[in-house]
Amino acid sequence: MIDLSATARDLVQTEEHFETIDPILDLSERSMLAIGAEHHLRDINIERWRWDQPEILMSWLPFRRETHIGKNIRVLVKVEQANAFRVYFESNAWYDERRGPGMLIRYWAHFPAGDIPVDGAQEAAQDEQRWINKYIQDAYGHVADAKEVTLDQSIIIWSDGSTESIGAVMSIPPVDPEQ
Amino acid sequence: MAQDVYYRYFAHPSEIAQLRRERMVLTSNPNRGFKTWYTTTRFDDPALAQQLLTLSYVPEYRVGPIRADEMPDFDVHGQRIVQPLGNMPGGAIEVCTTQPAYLFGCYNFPNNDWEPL
Repeated sequence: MIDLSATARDLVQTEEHFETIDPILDLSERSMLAIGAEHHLRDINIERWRWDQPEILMSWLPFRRETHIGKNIRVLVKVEQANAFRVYFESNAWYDERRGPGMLIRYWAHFPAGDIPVDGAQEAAQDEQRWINKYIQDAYGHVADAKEVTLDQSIIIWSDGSTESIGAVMSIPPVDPEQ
Repeated sequence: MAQDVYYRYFAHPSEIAQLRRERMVLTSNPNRGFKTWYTTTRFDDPALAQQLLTLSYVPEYRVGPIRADEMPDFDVHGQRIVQPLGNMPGGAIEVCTTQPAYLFGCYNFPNNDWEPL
């Protein structure tokens, strides 16, 4: 498993590059939108910098209006050294089950899809776009709407923030494009 | 009926400096209009906050509780459940605003500084 956790040094470096990381996220967004259009994904939402993280996230609902089932692709940027970055790609799928007030059971699956170095975010362009397209395509492949996705992790989350792991597994069925 | 309260978790050094200097809660990230996220959950364990908010960093600071009627409008999005990311489950409630929240304090104009209370 790739360790994506940020150290104090990472945070300072990220702060120094808040604005220079954005062009990498621009390239990623372009690629995400292309995937969304190609595969007719529904209810797409794209956002950046959630909780100040150098990331861009595209999520969608594989079944229209069923907000308890979701899928996403994330691109996360880490600063390796001045003007040298590493870009990580992943996808996730989940199913939420509410059991009364204050109790949520979440089933989910996580799929790392690789990482690439990018030198000079401001200059990131054609070559990087090709690789970013490839890795985002790979990330989508793990959670493609046309395939069944097995959610191999599960947890109970109480409204006070306490949790309990459970060993349950479930699947998201493939989406009928006519649905 | 009790109103919601909100907490913000963060670790960036410039944000804690800004909070101490201005008693103002707002991200130090200028991208995308200073979007600032909060949650309704009070975590005492920063590692658990990291898991349920799907943060790539372990938060060093928790600010709150801030009562709902003292919060700015959630002009980016209201309450929603955090998605799983980075092999972390998510599952906490999060909201987002571009507006600052101001904390209680007594500012001394002649001294140009906050009074210790």
